[in-house]
Amino acid sequence: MTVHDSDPPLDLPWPKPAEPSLATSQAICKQCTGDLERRRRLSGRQRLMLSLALSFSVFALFAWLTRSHARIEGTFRSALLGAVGWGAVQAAVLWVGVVRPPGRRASARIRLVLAVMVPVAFIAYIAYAAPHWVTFAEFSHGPAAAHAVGCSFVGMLFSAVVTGGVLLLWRGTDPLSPGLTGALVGLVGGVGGGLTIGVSCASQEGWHACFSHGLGTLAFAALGWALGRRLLPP
Amino acid sequence: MHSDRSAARVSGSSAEELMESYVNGNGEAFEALYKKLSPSLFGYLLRLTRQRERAEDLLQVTFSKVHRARGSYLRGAPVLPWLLAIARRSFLDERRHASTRSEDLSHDGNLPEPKPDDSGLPSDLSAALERALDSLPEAYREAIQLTKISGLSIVEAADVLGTTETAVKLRVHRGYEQLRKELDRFHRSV
Repeated sequence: MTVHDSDPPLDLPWPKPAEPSLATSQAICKQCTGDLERRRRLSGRQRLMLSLALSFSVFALFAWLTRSHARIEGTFRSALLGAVGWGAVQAAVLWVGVVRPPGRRASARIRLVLAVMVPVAFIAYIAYAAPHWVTFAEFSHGPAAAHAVGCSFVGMLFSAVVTGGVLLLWRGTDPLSPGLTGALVGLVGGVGGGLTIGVSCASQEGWHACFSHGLGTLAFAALGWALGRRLLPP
Repeated sequence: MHSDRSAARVSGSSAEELMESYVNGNGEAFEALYKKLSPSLFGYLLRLTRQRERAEDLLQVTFSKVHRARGSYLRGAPVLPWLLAIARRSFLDERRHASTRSEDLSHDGNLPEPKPDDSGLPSDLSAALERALDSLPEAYREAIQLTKISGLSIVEAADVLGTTETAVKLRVHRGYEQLRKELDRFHRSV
């Protein structure tokens, strides 16, 4: 008798699950039940609220600190409206990709598309909203370039605060797809940093906005993926 | 009587309910959870390591992590894939650390995999299947262990392994093909 090639081996005597030794089982039970106390913990929704509160707080604090900065007329109002809209996007990204328990979230494909397309959409939005553009040569030389570098640095600092804070809020919650979850957290941080620096930046030029305020979202999505793999599994 | 009521509460509960109860400080719930899931976990680790002692060490490491991280378990998360993912990471971490110590390495620089026991012919189909499973490449062995023996869905197995559903299906399919060859050889020798 041979196993028929086209039949899946459904009738095979698959091994029964093995049992660990009694000594090991007793040691584990003792370790895990000795001095057992109720663990207070945050639910997914509570972590979401705290994540959004962190991002909003960073934005609001910086907006308040720079309230006396000279701004081009109308840009502060635009920045606030943009922050409200993109704050909703941050909430949606976290809701779809992170809030639901691991194993019950949207598929990896959907979350990967979010991790790539949301930063692209953010940069596209910034480019669309920019009131004027100079040539790339003008942007990439002289005082404009120096300003862009400084602005990027400050923006990334805000992104780092938001990304780091949100990663810590979700620490230990995801052994299944920590990289992807981290990437979504990173892009939320990147958007937060970009919005924060955008509210007070004196330059509304297109290249500057895209490079200094927008590109950080992609960078932080990648950084979030790397940090997520270390911080998010238990 | 309190113990009887508590025992009645945990019996018949799902793994997720037991996990919730454990996080809320119920020791009996942990024991019921352990009894329910440790065979699947241990079987998986044994299939990966092919050494009972190592598998038991890793089982302890896994539950140690679960105990420390129980506060970060999100309500409603399927518990078995959650635990298997932690177990898998523990296995990979241990293998990574072992490779940085002065271990005997094979000529390609990797740790030598424990070889399945080839002494003698298998006595029956169960033994032959066990030997055939152990002789599979690790990726196929893992995929079949998770889907066929631990009972995970393809989606859950893909989550645990950190890969796509298509990759899991392919590994299972190729694993089955190799099992067929091995079992055909057994049947011809009987």
